[in-house]
Amino acid sequence: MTSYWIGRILQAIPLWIGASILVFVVLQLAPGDPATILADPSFLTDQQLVDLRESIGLNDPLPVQYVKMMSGIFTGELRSFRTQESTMSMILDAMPTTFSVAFVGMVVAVLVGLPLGVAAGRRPGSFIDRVLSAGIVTVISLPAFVLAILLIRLFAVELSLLPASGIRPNGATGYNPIEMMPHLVLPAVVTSFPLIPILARYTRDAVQDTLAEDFVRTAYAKGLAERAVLMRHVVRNALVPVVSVVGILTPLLLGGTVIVEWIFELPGIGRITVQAALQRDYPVVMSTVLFSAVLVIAANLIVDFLYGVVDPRIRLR
Amino acid sequence: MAHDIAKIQGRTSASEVETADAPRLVLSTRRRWNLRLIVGLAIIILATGSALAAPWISPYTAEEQVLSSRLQGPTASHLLGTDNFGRDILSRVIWGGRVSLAVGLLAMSIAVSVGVLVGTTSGYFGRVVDAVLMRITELVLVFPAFFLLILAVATFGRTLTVLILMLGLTSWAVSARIIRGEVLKVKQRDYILAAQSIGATNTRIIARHILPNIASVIIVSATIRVGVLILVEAGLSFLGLGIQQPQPSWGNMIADSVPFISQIWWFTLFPGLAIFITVLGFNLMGEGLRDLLDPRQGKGRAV
Repeated sequence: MTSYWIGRILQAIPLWIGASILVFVVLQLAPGDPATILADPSFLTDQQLVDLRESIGLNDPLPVQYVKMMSGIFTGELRSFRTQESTMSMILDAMPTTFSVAFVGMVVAVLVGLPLGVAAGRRPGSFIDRVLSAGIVTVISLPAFVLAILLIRLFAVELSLLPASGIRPNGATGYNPIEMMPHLVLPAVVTSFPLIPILARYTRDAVQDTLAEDFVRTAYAKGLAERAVLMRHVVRNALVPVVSVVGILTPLLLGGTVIVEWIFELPGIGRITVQAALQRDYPVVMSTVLFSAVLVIAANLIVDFLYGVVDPRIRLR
Repeated sequence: MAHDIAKIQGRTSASEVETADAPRLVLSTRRRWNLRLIVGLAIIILATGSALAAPWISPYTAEEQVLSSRLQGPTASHLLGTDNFGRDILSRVIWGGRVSLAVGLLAMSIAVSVGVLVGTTSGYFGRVVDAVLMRITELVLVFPAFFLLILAVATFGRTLTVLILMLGLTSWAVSARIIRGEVLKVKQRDYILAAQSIGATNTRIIARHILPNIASVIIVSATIRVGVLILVEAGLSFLGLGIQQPQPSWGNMIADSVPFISQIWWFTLFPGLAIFITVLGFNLMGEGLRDLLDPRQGKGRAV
């Protein structure tokens, strides 16, 4: 069992190395002098440019440059060209915000999407099912940022019920869940919005497939009430494919937090990525993009682990 | 109770019909033009038509500023009102549609071309080719597409060409995976074996026997992808990383409207509706096409 998990974690390492090579290659493909991409030349004197070329080792062979750049992320030597702050500490500062938004958003998506999917899947072709499939097409066509703006207009401007920006009240520090709660309501709704239809659709299909299984017929045949069959046999088994969807949704979830953090002015990883991209602060963009890949790889590992929890057969293999 | 069992038996026999070898009868009754397809097609024709006819139907140019009439509500001379520079919102929505549709359609062509190339090569040849191509595909999929796009735009600049290229090159991986899966299924068929046994070349088998049989899957996923790409372009432009001012795009119009959110709602609403209706059109058409071309697949997965 332990060796299985060590194996799985080791398998993820080549993926991360591949991802970091991809980011490095993109930088190499960029037009012009890499030094002018790593730092805006209008902010540098000629002497600084020469120093910069030397310090980032542009005269070194490519593999050496690659190793230097990647180790620079971990040692904190890779710094923002605007603030001189190390990209690693920027990421560590922003992480709790992004995690809070992503986590609460995912929880909301599961709490709404799962019951909807079960309701539709148990009676394919029923009224609920048809309403759901019409709702799915509608919701996936709606841009999340338009929803966010309209929600701000309604709940923050019009009704003054919820804050429109920030992760905590003015003057507060740290990550106190009770203080953060009202600030997370609108971001969580917007984050969960595009995920709900996908979760609902997969749950619906999974429930429909499970209902056709022999063990469900057996459960009905031995006289179990429909509710018991549904809860004990159908939903539990339908969870297996649904858990894998949660893994597939992680990239979408992280992409969604970028826009949410931007609109609600939350100091998370998405927001610093966009700010850095607008200012062409390349080391920051590079670090956060790589970090987003690390999060996806980690999420897939967690999903594999959850797989074992919801379906013990997988653990035995 | 008896009712339940009858229901279960009904379900079982229905699923047997689907797995059996003679589903033709069922298919012929379901394979038809449907409401979603018609509505979707109508929206797309309307959107493309107004985008193509922009120079003739838009009442003003997209960039004409009349500072004395800023932030006006809908009037007879400005049907959808004016923005913060006194530009006509209706004209900007029409011209913005050109950009959004061009980006969506061109980026989709790139994504689907690469996806078909990688997917068929990988699925048909298998072994080492498959292993290598699928590892590369996984590598692209490991990045949240939005982050990869931001990296690309920050590296290569924010021109229209870069945007189209990068949207295409970051979204082929999903298509490649779907197409590979379909190729693997078709490859098992007897007619492929027959073609191989009479000495047909690999290129010929792929072009004449495999691609026509997976065409419906490609067309459906391509249609839905246009909608997804329009949404992504709008998102990037909204963040200021896509289409740059003064060229209008639905995304950057909404970004313009944010500071005025408490004053005028139509400034946000109209470009927002334009995005929503257009993307809805492509999604409806994709689902409608799926029912028309390949009803066995059931109501489908958009992602």
